[in-house]
Amino acid sequence: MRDLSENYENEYDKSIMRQLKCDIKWGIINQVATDGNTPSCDSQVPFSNISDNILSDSTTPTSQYGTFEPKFWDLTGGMNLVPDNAEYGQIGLVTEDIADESGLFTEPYPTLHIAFDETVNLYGLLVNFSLYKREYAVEFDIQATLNDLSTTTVSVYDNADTSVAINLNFENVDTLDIVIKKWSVGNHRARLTEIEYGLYKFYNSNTLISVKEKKQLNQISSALPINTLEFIVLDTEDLFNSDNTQGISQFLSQRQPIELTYNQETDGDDEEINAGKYYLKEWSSTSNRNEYKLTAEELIGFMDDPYYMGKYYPTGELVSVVISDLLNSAFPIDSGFNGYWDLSEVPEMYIYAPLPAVVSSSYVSHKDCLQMLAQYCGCIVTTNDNGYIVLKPIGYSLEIADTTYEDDVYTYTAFAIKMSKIYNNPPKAEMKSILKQIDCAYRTLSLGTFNTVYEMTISATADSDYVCEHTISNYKTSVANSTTIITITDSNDDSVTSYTAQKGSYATIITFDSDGIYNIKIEANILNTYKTSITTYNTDDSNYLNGEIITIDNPLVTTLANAQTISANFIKELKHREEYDIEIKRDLRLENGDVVNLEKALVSSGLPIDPVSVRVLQNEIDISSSTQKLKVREIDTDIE
Amino acid sequence: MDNELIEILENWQEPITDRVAQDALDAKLGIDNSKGFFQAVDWNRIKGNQTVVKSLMDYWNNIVVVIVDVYVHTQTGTQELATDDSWITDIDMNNIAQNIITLADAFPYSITNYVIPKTSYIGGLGATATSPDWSDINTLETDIKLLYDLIYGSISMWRYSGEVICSSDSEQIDVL
Repeated sequence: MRDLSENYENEYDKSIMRQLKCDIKWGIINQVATDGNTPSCDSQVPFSNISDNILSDSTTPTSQYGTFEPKFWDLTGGMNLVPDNAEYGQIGLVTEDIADESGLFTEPYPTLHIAFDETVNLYGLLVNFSLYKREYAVEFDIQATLNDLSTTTVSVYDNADTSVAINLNFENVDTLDIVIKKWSVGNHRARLTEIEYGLYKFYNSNTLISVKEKKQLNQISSALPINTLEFIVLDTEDLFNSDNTQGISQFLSQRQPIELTYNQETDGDDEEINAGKYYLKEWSSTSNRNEYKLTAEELIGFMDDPYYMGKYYPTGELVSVVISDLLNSAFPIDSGFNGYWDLSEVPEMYIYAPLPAVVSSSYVSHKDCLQMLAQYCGCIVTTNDNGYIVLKPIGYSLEIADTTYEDDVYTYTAFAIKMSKIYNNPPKAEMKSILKQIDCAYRTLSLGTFNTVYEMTISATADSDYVCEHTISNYKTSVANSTTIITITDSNDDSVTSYTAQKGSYATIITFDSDGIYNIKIEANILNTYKTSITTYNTDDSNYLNGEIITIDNPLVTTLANAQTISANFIKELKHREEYDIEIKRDLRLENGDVVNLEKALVSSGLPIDPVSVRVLQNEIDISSSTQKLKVREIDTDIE
Repeated sequence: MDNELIEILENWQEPITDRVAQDALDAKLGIDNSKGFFQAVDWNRIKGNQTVVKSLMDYWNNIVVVIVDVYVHTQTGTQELATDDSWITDIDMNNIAQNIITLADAFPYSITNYVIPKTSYIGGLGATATSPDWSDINTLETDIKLLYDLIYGSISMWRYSGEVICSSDSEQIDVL
C-alpha cells in the first residue's frame, strides 16, 4: 500500500475531491549509445573520471573537487578534497586546460571524444556541465563523425545553462566530439558531469488527452500478467508526424523509459505520487489529427524470447541464482536493463530440474520461465517504482490505516474499502467455483545413458548464434548438460573449427568464429524423469467434493515437499470463492497484493454485515475518471 | 634587529582570520568575495607563515621543530608553491594542519585561544568525505598568528628590556 500523507487522506474523505493531474516523463534515450561508448579526452587532470560510463550514469556528482584556480574553491565546505588514494569516484570530466581571463580556451580546444561500439542515431543530447559550480560552456561544438567518415557539426553559442538539451538529427554516428571553446568563468577548467544520448519529453495534463494504467497480479503465479500504461498525447508540434524530418518518430524505439507521476491537489502541500516506470512498447496515430497513442509495459513485457539455457543442477542451485541467470539472459548488458531486478526477498530454496525449452510443442519464453520459478519458490512477480522486476513472497497481513496508543496498548485499525466509496454498493461477489482439490505433479530425476542428442550439417555465418535443439522426444526425457560433448568439424576437410558454445539441458547455442559448412554432433547424458502426482483436498470447505480440480504441472517441482508446499499455497489463496469486480472512488493508496477489508451489506436489505478481508488483484486507473476499477478476492489473513 | 631576524620577518604575511559564513556563501554564488575562496595565495600564505614561525622558534630559543614538507600537485608532478593550475589532496591538508599542532606543541608556554585544527580530512566523494570550510581555514591562520605574536613578542621584550652593566670596582649592578 502506498504511504501517502494525511493531506491526501483528508482530500480523499471530502465529498468532492479535487482533480487528479499527472505528468509523464518520456526518455527518448538511445540505450545502445548509452551503454556502448568509450569516452576519452587528451586534456584531463588525473582525478577527472570519464571511464566506465561515468558520464552516462544516472548518478550525477553533486560536488566538485577543490582546486586552486582563482576564485573556484568556495569555503562553504561543499567542495571536496582530492583523495590521495586515487579513489576519485564519479566526478566526470575535469580538463587540464584552463580558460583565459575571458573564458576562452586556446587551440587545440579541450575535447571530449566518444567512440560508440556500434553506429547510432542521435536526435538529441543532454549535456550537464558543472552542476555544483553552476558553470558551463558558453561556446561549444558537437561534432559527429558518421560511418561514411563524413562529419557534421552543431555549434552552440551564447549558452547560459549548466544543463543543455540540444536537438540533433545525426544518423549513423560512429564518434562524437564535444569541443569546448569558451567557459562561463575565466581562469577556470571546464567540467562536464553527465551526457545523455537523447532527450526527455514531458507531458502534463495540458498535453495528455488520456492516461490509463492497468495493473494486475496473479497471486499464485500461474501466469504473469503485464501491467500497462496507455496514454494519448496532443502533438501540436507535429513531432510524431513521420513527414517531419525534425520530428521524433524516427527515433521511437521499444524500451524507452516512461515515468508516471500523479499530482493530487490537497488543502496542504500537493501530493506527488511516483506511480512507477514503464517502457515503451507500441505507438500509433489515432483517428483524431494531432493525437498519438503510446503504450508502455513493465520490463516483464519484454521477455518474450525463448529461453534455451535451462540447466540441470544435480547438487542443487539457489533459486535466486537461477532467476538471476534467466534475467541476465533476458536483459544482457547491452540491453541497458541489466541488473534491473530485486531478488533480495526470494526464499533460500534449491532447484534441481532444468527450465524447459519446449512445453506442449510451444517454446518457453523467458517470461514463462520466470513464472515457473516464481511459482516454485512461492513468490509473486511485481515491479517497484524504479521499474525493477521484484520477486517476493506474498503477504497475509491486513494493511493498517491507523495506529493509536493508549494505556501502553497499541490499537490498529485495518484499512477498509468503505461502502460509501463503492459505486453500485453494496459490492456483490462473483461466485467462483468451489475448490475441490489440487493435483500437483513432481518429477524425480536420475541420470541415464549417454546418447547423441543432436547431429546436423549446417551452413553457418560467423558470429551468429545457432540454436541446436536436442532431439529429446526419442527418449521422452530431458538431457543433462553436465557431461555434454560437442564435436564440430568442417564438412569439407573434417578439420576442427573454432566456436563458442552455451550448453543447456535442452539445447546448445553455438557461435562460429568463421563462415563455413559444419558437421555438428552433440552427445549428452539423458536425464530420466519419473512423474508422480499428489492430491491435496480443500477440506476447509464442507462442500468441497462438488468443487473443481486444479492441476499444477511445473517441471521444476522435483520433491514431494515442493509439491505439498505449492498445493498448500494454492489452497490458501483460492479456497474462498468470492471475487469482486468493484468500482470505487479513485484511491491511489491501494496497490495490487494489498490485503484490506471490504465493507459489505446484504443486497436485499442494505444492512451492513461484517467486512471481509480481500486481496487486491487488479487495479485500473483512468485519469479522466474519478473512479477506479478493482478486482479483489476474499482471503484469510494472519491477523484475527 | 639583526639581519637574520629581518630576513625571517620579511617572509611573514598577515593572515586572514575574519572569514564569516557569508563570505563562503558569496563565493559559492559566484560573488567576487576573495575571503570566501580558498586559493593558491591562501595556501602559500599558510605554508609560508608556518615556516616563519618555525624559524622564529629556532631564532628565539633554539627550538628546532621538524615539520612535514608539504607539496601541491600539478599535471606533471608536485611543486613547492601552489599555482592556479595546482591542487592539494586530503593528506596535504591533514599535513599542513598537523604542522601547526607540531609547532604549538613545541612552544614552551600555553597558548591562549589556541584551537587544535582538524587533521582528519577524508577526500573523495563518499559519505565519509570531509573537507575544510571557512572556519577551519580561520583556525589554521589564527593558530599560526597566535604563535607568531607570542614568539615575536617574546623576542621584542628580550631585545628592549635594557642592558645590564656590571661594575668592575664594586658589587653594584646598574640596570639602564
